[in-house]
Amino acid sequence: MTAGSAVVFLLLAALAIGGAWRMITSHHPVHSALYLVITFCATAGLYLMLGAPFIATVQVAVYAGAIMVLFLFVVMYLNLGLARDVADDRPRRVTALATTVLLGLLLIAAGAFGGGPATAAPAMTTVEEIGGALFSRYALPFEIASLALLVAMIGVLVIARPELKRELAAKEDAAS
Amino acid sequence: MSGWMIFLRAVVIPLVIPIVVLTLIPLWIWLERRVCARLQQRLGPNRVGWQGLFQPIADVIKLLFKEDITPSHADRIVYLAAPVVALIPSVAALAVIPFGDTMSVPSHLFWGDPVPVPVQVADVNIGILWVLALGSLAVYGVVLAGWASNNKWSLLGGVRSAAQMVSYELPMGLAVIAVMLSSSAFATAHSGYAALSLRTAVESQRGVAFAGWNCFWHFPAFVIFCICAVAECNRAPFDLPEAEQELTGGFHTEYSSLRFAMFFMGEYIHMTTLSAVGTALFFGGYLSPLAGIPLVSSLNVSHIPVLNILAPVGWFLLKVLLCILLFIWLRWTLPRLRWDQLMRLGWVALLPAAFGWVMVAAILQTVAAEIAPHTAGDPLLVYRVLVFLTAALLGLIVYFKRAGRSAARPAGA
Amino acid sequence: MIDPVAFTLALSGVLFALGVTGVLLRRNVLVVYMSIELMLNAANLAFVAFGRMHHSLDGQLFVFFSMVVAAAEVAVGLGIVVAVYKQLRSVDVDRVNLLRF
Repeated sequence: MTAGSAVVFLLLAALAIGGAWRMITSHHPVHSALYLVITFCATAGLYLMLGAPFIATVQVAVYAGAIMVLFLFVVMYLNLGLARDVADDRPRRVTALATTVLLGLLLIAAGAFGGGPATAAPAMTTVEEIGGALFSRYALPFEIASLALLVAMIGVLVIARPELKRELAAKEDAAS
Repeated sequence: MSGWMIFLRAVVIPLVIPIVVLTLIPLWIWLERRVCARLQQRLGPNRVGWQGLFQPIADVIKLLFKEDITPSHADRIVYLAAPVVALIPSVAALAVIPFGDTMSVPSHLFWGDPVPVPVQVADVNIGILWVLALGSLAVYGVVLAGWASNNKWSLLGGVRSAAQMVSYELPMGLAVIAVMLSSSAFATAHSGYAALSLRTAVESQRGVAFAGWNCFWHFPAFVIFCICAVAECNRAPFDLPEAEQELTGGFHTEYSSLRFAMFFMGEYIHMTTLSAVGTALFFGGYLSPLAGIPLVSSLNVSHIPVLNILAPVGWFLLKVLLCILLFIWLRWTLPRLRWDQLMRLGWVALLPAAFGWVMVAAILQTVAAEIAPHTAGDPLLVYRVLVFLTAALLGLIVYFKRAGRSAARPAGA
Repeated sequence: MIDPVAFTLALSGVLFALGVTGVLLRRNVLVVYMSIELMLNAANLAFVAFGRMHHSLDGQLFVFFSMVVAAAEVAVGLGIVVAVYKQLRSVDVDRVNLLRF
């Protein structure tokens, strides 16, 4: 890794951590969502530097472009204003922070000592390689994933629109 | 690589392309006002400069001197950042669009062997995915502006925009996938091309005149792409996020001065980017529509030093101009859709149609790849023949059904 | 110079821990949800890093599937949030204490 790319790497990492920290400390959910978008975009940059351009663009399109827009949409739809919802009782805060520090240290240690170095700088993965693997070795998981999406879509329609259930019941009654 | 090459590829091209595109924006605004005036039998702005060409510049100067107001209960930082956020994705998407053919330039400033350099900021493997990913970020500017203004009309505009842009991204992505089937077939047949690069998509359409253009061979995808592009730009007939009569201006109600100008410009840049993508995918990009025609092709400019670079760029910009004219024409012709009609069109009409076309195109492409070796033909050519046959068959069926119906109808009815 | 794989793994650990903090500290169910997304993202980062370490495509494919599942999960989760809000007029996790609606 050259000095230049190391600097970019560190900058992206700082951006990701900063965004994540502000996400959990911001008072307004919209601000939290925006900081999380920053974290996601920084992560996409890291994917790019790790030689995974396809994952990087999917990260931007799915996480930043679809999931977070959905979050913003729900925040605006429910019109959730400012709410001081950060836990204010001391035991809870202390527990949270202690757990986090311990877990973080454990994970950092596991990562830093457990992972071996990459033997050589690999080339960028191409989209063709990913596509080839998805439609051969991973064909079954791919189909199951698409089924999961379909089930989720139908499930959401039923959960979020109780009137839909009533309409369907009324239709059934009318039919019988 | 010599210093001159690095300078050319890392500084000159990445600077010239956005500057050219941004310079075109006042031209589009002038065009919009003049064309809409013609459509309404008016003259339009014709006082400032020749034919009113400097009117947009006068408008910008006027906007610059207006007061920049921030509503008192607005979320200040988000409010101020939203116009910038709206601009960035569409400008960044320009990076992967090929504006011209590969030019050969000397490897040193005035001497050395000629080296091919694409007129494009970055010819990357994931070109079209980059455009789609940035397109999905474009929604943030509008949504944040709507929310941060702390105004219920703005908020409604922002929420509408979020739903609209997320919905229309899907059929647009599917339409693009159908085209990518053709261009990746081209990439597998010819070495040296990346499957998802926009340059590959352009090169796969090379042929006599416009015979290879995808707007014919992927006609359903082309129509879907056009509709979705208009919806992504939030322009009439899909301008619900800013619907004047209902929301007084929607997401940009509270904006004034330069920040309003940025939204205004952002819309035109977004239009230009989408037109450029559409041109590359469906209109053969920088390819000349006169290539291969017997008489005209003797006027070949490929050996004249500067013209051979400028001619493809000229064709590209001309095609983009025609796309912009289409945008303007649609805006001043069609009435705005109602909210439920918009959603129904997106989810019930466009999405299944796009899915259907991806299926048909994939089947035809696979069949073409299977029979191409037996006919010693190019798989892309076989695919086009198959599309033509399918379309002809459908046309005949419809024609005979109609003929049968009108024959069955009693005379005089 | 820094080793990209070990560095990314450490970063993934930090992001995961921050996600856990968010879940433990916040009461707004939407922010809790975002924290869960952050944890998923940290796991994805580790997958890509390990994939690079072993020169294998599988890491990236796992991330692809995890993103698909994340998208489905967010849709369902937000659907539940909207349904709960319609009942309780609140998105405070401490107030959502009935297993029915």
